Amino acid sequence: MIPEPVGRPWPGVAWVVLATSAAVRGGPAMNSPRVYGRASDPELASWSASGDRRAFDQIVIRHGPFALRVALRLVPDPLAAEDLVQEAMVRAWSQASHFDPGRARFTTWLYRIVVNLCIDHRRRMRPTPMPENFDPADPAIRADEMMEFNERQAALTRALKDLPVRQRVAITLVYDEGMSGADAARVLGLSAKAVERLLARARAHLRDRLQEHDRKETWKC
Amino acid sequence: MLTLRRFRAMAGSYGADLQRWPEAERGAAQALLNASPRARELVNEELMLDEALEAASAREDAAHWPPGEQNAALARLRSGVVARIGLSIGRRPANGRFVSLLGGGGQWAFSPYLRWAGIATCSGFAITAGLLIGARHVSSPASDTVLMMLQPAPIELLAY
Repeated sequence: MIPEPVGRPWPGVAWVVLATSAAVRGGPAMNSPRVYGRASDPELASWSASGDRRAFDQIVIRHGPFALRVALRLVPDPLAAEDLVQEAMVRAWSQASHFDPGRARFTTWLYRIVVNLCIDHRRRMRPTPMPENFDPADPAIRADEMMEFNERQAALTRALKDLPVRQRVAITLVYDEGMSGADAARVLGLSAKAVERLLARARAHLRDRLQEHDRKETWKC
Repeated sequence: MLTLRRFRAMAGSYGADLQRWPEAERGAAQALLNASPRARELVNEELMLDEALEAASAREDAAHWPPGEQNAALARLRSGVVARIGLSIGRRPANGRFVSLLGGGGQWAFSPYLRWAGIATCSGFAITAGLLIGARHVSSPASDTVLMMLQPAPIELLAY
């Protein structure tokens, strides 16, 4: 969790201009000071919809780390992943007035934008070979164990990369980010049952690939 | 009642950690785990994959996020978003106010409402200016000329 920069708004000058322009536009709560750090997500979304960029910056601070983590798992190129998250955030800003807290949680709405952009990107991109140093050696493990461990990890990492994108998203949300199946289903716009099936297929694929790797290792011995 | 078949399906999806399972199923799953050796066996089978996934996830995180990189990435994201919002703000009709008119950033991004309001305002100015200029430069007719025009023509003139 990244601490909020209390007392040092960022970038300072921009927010003075922003606050003035929001006041000129008659933002609804400009009469009382807005405490961005304590505001709820729907409040921040509502303020963002009325043009308050500082409220939106607070949204980026809160949810940017999640978005970056998920994007990096789904889109292995870090530059592309950051670009996608930036695009998702700009879309969220421009569509903030469409967010309806009665229909969905803010996080579900925002994460869906992020995930959908990543899915679209993955479908467009060609498969790339693994980089040479994607799995650096851990010096704490003995050489032979390390080789076996690394090979197994590499097999699993390759299997994860080969997963169909929706299965990869389901695994990322539920296993890496600790989301419940129901929340992951909302983000993906699917039923909980459908996510359960995605997870089952993904795990079956990963298990098969690991067993295949283990069989090969046994045969070598 | 959770059957062993359903238990196997859930373990195949959500793995060995019951905390990851849907809340509604956890109690029954725990009860079955306590009672059934086969259920425990199933969970142990899934545990190996859970551990491999966890290790892969940790190594992926370590590769993507060396110390300080997450903060740096977030800072880049924030500044990028601020810059792009600044560029696009003129194109965004924020609740129908005059944002696009004030901050177009060189883009002619008027909404239809604003366009018609502009045309009406310009037309009003043009008409008012025309009236003012006309009133200044056209002399009013002398009062006796007006009276003469209003008088009936002389009778002899009609007879002729």
